[in-house]
Amino acid sequence: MKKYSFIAIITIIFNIVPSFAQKDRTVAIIQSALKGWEYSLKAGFNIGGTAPLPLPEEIREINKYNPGMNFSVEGNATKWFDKDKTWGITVGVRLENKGMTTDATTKNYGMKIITPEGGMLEGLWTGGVYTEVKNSYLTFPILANYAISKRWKLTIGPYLSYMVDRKFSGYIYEGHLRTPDEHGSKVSFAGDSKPTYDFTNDMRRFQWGLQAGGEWKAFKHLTVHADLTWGLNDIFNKDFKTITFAMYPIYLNIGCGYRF
Amino acid sequence: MKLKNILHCGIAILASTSCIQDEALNIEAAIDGCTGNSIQLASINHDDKKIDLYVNQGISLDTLRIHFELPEGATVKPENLLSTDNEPIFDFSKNMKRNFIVTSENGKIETKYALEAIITNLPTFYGFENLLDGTNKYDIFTERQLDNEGEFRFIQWASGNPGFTMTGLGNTRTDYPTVQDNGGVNGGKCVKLTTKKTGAFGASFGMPIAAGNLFIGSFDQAKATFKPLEATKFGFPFKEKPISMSGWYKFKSGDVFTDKNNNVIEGKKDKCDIYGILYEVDEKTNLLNGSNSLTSPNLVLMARISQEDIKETNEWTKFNINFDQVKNGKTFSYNKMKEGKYKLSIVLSSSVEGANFNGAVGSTLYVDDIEVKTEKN
Repeated sequence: MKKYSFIAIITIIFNIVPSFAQKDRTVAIIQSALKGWEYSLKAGFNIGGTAPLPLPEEIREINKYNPGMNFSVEGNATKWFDKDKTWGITVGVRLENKGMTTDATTKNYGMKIITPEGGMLEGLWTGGVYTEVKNSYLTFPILANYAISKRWKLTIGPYLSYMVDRKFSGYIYEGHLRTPDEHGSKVSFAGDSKPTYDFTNDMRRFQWGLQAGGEWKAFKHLTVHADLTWGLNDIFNKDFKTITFAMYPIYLNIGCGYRF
Repeated sequence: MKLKNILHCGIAILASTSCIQDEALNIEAAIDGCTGNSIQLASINHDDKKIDLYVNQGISLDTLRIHFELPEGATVKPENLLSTDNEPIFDFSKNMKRNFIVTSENGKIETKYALEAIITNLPTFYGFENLLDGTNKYDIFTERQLDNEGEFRFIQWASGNPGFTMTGLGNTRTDYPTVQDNGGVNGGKCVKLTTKKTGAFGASFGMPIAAGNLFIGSFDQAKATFKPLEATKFGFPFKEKPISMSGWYKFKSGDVFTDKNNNVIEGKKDKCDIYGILYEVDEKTNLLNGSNSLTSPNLVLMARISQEDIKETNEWTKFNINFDQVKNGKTFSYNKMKEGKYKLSIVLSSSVEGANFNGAVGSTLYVDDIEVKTEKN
């Protein structure tokens, strides 16, 4: 359902773009262009990970990693300060997904298995952990622009994100849980015994970070970009103690855009 | 060109910070098991950090060999090392209660356990009046008595209750399948076994129900989820010949019988089970478990309530069953008995097929005042 609404938004945006183009710019756009304003629409995909940095000693091995398909759409406005359009500032709004699935081997990794009845088993997990992260954000980048040539510009600045939709869950397999702590008893899981966990509701809604990248103007209106977004606050709430280390979303956004 | 550079730059940053760190030394500090030739059973209470070592009468307590099952890299030492200790052989003759300290591999985490060597024989009367002291999440039955010869007899009953903690449904002690109850046959207490739902957690392991059970032996929690039949270990050394087993019961079947896949089996009534077994230990088989307690070639004598005789009743009903020869070629020998080759177990369950997770939720079995008549020759 959510996937479809996402695709619908993309479709709408790409239908609007040509209709603007056909009119060969409205008067408003021309006028604002004369005042140093520029608008663009961008679409792309995110590839990266929601991960601790550096990888903590609890994670012994990454067995599998799948970046998945994470789309993004963005509309933004750039105000150039000088006539040559060398320096400018961009504000935008971006709807984006950041997700991945990983399969890791851990040692004494903080874990809490929860049953739908509210029962739980908490402790230190040594063994396999499968994790699925799928978050949707409404992101507001505020970027400084520096044009190094007519075709090339570099951007850097902070972004603020609000998590619209979230998921951080998975299961554990082949190993043992020391519960409730390192002094506790051992419960082994093997074979088809794969208890699930879900830390979705322990994630914070508001996140921020830094974004840096470059944009290349391929044709008169078409641009290609690559932006690295680096989360700077832990994706989990402060009072979430099960995972003992902070995790940050670090993703590379690659895509193309239409500059009016 | 530039785009490529940015890409390379990004990947390089990620790669340089995402390296797997050197493996840290283990922080787990616990005792997962105690075994040894003279140790028949180790009952570990992980909450109180107490370990009861049941040792056979007649063994020398000054040279008790203990093999500790520990987390990777952990070490264990007595709190006060005696000159007569010679690890892994410890002297329990001066003090039968000794503290041991487990240290994690990294040396930073320590856990102290109180080990108590308990010389014991099995009691022959079980009144279900006493529970283990301490802050336990569920009831742990104990029997403690002096027999006619002034000999101390003690047993801590085992049950599947430790496994039920994992379902998250055991909020109070009465939520568990195995509990003590009022209204015993002579006005005292009795044991109440109830077949319970295990919720989503149990169902996810193909164990949708948990029969209330009580048995002489031990429950191995580490095996509870993936080899549940082997988690219930039956038997304790016994130096008498059991002749018959009597006691009182009340049984009521639950309404809906389900199988291990939680499918309803229409019209089927649940039955309880009450049995006693005596089996011979050999080099291969030291303990029987839920997978072979009724079929093992090591069985010698068995007393089992006949399924036809089980009545659904609200009144205390007497049962009296004989220990009969199991027809597998093994015969009872007093010599083997004296050599300590036999183990006895008594098993009670609110659902006869409970070990295979077939049964009716709500089936309830009350049992009280079990007496085993024996011959010592």
